[in-house]
Amino acid sequence: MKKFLKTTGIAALAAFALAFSSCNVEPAYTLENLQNIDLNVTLFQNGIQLRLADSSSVFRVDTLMKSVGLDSSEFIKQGPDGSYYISYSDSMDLTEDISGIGLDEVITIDAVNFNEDISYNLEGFDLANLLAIVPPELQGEYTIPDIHYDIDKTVDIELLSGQDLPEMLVGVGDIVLDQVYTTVELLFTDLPGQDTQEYDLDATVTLPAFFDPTSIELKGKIKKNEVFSRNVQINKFNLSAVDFVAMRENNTTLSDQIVINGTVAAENVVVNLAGMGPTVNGTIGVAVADANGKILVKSIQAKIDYQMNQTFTSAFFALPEAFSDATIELPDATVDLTVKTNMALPLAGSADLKAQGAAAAVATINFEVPYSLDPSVFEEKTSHNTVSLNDLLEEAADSLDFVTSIATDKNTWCYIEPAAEYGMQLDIDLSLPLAFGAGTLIHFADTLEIGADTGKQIGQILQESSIGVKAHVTNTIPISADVTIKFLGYDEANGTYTAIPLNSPVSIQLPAPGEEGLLNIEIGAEKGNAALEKLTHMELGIDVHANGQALKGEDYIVLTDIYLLLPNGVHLDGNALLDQEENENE
Amino acid sequence: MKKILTIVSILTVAFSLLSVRASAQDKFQSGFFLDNYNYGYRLNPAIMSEKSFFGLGTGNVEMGISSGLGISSLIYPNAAGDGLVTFLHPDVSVDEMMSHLGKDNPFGVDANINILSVGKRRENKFNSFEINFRADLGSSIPGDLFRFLKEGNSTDPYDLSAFYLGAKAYTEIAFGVAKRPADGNLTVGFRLKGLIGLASTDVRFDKADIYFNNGTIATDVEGKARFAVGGGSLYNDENGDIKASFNQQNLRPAGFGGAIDFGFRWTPFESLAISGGINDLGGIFWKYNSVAKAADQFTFNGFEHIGKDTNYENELGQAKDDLLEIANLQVIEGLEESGFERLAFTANLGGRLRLPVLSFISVGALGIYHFDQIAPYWDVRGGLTLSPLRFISVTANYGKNTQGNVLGLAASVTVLFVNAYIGVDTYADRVGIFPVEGVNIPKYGGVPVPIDPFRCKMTFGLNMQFGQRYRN
Repeated sequence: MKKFLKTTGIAALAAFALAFSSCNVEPAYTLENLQNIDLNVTLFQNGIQLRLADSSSVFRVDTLMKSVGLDSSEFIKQGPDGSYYISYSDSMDLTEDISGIGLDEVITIDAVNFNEDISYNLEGFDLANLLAIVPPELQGEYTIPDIHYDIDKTVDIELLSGQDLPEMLVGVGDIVLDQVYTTVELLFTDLPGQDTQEYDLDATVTLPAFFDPTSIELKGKIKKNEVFSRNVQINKFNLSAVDFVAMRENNTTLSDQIVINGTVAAENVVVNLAGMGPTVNGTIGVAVADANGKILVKSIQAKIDYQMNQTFTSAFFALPEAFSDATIELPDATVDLTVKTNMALPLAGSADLKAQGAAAAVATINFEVPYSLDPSVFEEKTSHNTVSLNDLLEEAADSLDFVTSIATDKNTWCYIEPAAEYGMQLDIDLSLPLAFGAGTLIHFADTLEIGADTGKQIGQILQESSIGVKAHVTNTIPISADVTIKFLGYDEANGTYTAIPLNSPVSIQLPAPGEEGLLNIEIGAEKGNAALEKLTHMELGIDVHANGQALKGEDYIVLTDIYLLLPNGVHLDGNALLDQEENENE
Repeated sequence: MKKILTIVSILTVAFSLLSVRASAQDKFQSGFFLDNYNYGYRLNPAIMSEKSFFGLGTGNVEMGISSGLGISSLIYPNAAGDGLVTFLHPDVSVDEMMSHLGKDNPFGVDANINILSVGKRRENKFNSFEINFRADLGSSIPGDLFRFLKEGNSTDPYDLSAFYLGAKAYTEIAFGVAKRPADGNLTVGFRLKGLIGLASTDVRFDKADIYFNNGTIATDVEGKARFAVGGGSLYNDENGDIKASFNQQNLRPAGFGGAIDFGFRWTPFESLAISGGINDLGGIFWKYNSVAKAADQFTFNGFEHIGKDTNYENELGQAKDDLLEIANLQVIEGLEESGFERLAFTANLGGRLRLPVLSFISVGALGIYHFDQIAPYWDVRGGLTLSPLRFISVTANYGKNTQGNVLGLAASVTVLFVNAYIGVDTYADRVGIFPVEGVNIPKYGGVPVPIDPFRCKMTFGLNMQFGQRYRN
């Protein structure tokens, strides 16, 4: 089929040519001239500006970094001044950890309720002696000038149990209560005299010292079988004097006493001696609670001893193997740790940066926690840290651990509103200029397979002519580069590479930043050298130097006066290329 | 006669205003000068073949090629005059290069293959019937594309709207009649053609301005691609590339149309004939079952808001989508269009004179104009024909057309009842001698190839003649 097509094509061409055989031959387009066309060409005489850094260029920084195995699209940013920097950001939300602490359960106080019988002797009046001297028939009504009873009652109460205290609690200051009252009720069932007889009550209820207020006055008129009641709002408990650590360790309770003492007295009381006894009886009740029978805590001053360690793993990058022997100088990175919280906790923390699994930290970043006395307001505080990336680069891996440690100052009061929802967020921002230090030297070397067919074609071309490119280069990018190319032939039998002889080494120089230069690539070899057809591989070497400045958006490489030195008879074997791609796909 | 010319004029203007098209198809002009040639009615329906004939498969094959881009536009003599350089050589200025290029630089090939042809000749009447397969590929390369390659960055926008690619294939079923009064000297004829569209596609841009300025790119593109084939459709794959799919079970005609040829032939004297005609007045209604559009204005000179909160991923993604939309035509799902595509029509006027005593020699002249949007052209030529025997004729003609000098050569011979002919309308200007492996034309030492814009039409055929031979 190929032979047929070739024959047909030649015949058609011959017929076509015969059709023009009567035409005039233009002297300039002779066979000799057409066989030796000057193939030096210049493309883009006005130049093509390749902005390697600018976002408008197809040759973007992230594209270039991807080409060397660094997927930088997520963390390459451009600053307002046009300079590029690497920005890595992430955040940790510790809200769930905090809610897990159960702040509303830090302090639980049970309501206090008691109601006990009382019985007091009549004071200042000898009723037994009176009954002894008065005959029974004469024991009617008498007016007694002065009757009084002394009241003295002490009740033990328990507020907190040591075993219920959370581990982190080492001290409590003021516990502000929410609508909590202490209510005292006094009832006498058999006060002497008529039912309408009023007595003067003058007593004081002494509450525990950590109560605020610490006493309740019971003053007023009291009658038989009528409850005398007084209450007072308890604003807070001040427990700063209580050793909670000892309570928890000894499993003791926070207990105290409520003491009631005073007198119940009346003058000129008309009594019936026949029915009068030597004592007066009744009940006394005390309750410390809110309307629902509970003691609700509005806020607590507490000293907390709490530590939390958490490791946060984030994607990072490792230098490709090709850079293993490179000398890379990087500028210091700025790491900002921003903490947002609505807590009033004396917290301090740090984050150790380390390669995943590494024992030692490459860098430590400290941070502070803001202090918010109003749970509805989140305060924010940013801590600036400087990190040496040269150390980090040595440990760089595909992932990076942020080992965070947070601890409270147990000697400083925390302020907690148990009903509030507390949260904390830790934002990490890492920023560094996209620049290499002046001492950077990156050497990249690799042997690339060209393919036997393509190599043979190149070899055949080089047997007859040279190929090359010349261009004027202006470079403002803060790196320069030297590229060398060697052609090799691979001997499968011996597993060795043999250098393909060229007239001169292929060397390309990208001028230093801010300089202009001539890009000159010319590949030529001894004409007719059969060894050229053994070309199968290419050894590519790139040395990159830097000047320490950051890459900016307006940096560019301009190529002007591009000359292509084209060989005669250049052709691409599309089938060979296609087969190669298919093989790669397989 | 006046009425006919009026009608023809009206039709010509009307068709000129209808939807435009591009074509490489033109006529085999040398056939006008050739005697003993059965298919002269294709140029002018009033021309009758000398005998009745029948052709099957090999009756007539025409192939043409035209190029508005010459090798001399791409390869130039060097400054010293002793060698050649390419258009990208620094010695060739942009202005010099552009003077050799047009806004559009058409290139096209066409084929007309006769499947069946029958002609029946009587003394004053001729009927013909043909079934032809016709294919046409036309394209145009914008001159500004070459300017960009040579200049690179330029503040002058590059207008690439001249880019065009069109192809179509259709079957032509033609019935022709030519008639003259028994005692008259005016022959009129027409051909009615039914056209069955097989497939058509065209890609064209109403606007394609591209600006390159210091690394920024701005484009303003409005374009459309249409694809008509029964059972086939276009779609964008996951990469945004346009692909075609076919369902053989749904194969059907992609369009229908019709065209008409008019012609007259006036013989004031027996030895003189003046003739004229118009061909291919008509077109095809295509049902374009896939339509893809590119219409967008796009400027990419960096991100407008650069700061800590810039979402580069989104912005870059949007830019990428915009570029893809411009770079690749996007198939509009479910959109179908019907469109009338006018055939490129041709008007011609000519005359032939047989020499009084030497009646086997005739001379003639022919002028044509081809109404084509992309590659219109005119062609004027004079010819000499020798027909020493009634079954042998050779002709040579020479003239000028839009692109330069033209030459036509043709010959026909009838042996027994078998008629064979061959001819070429070709370029007759400057050629260069190119080295082609395996081909060596004597005298030149290489292959002569046109170096200026050119067109070439080749035809040949083999058919059977029968019946009595009449003089036209």
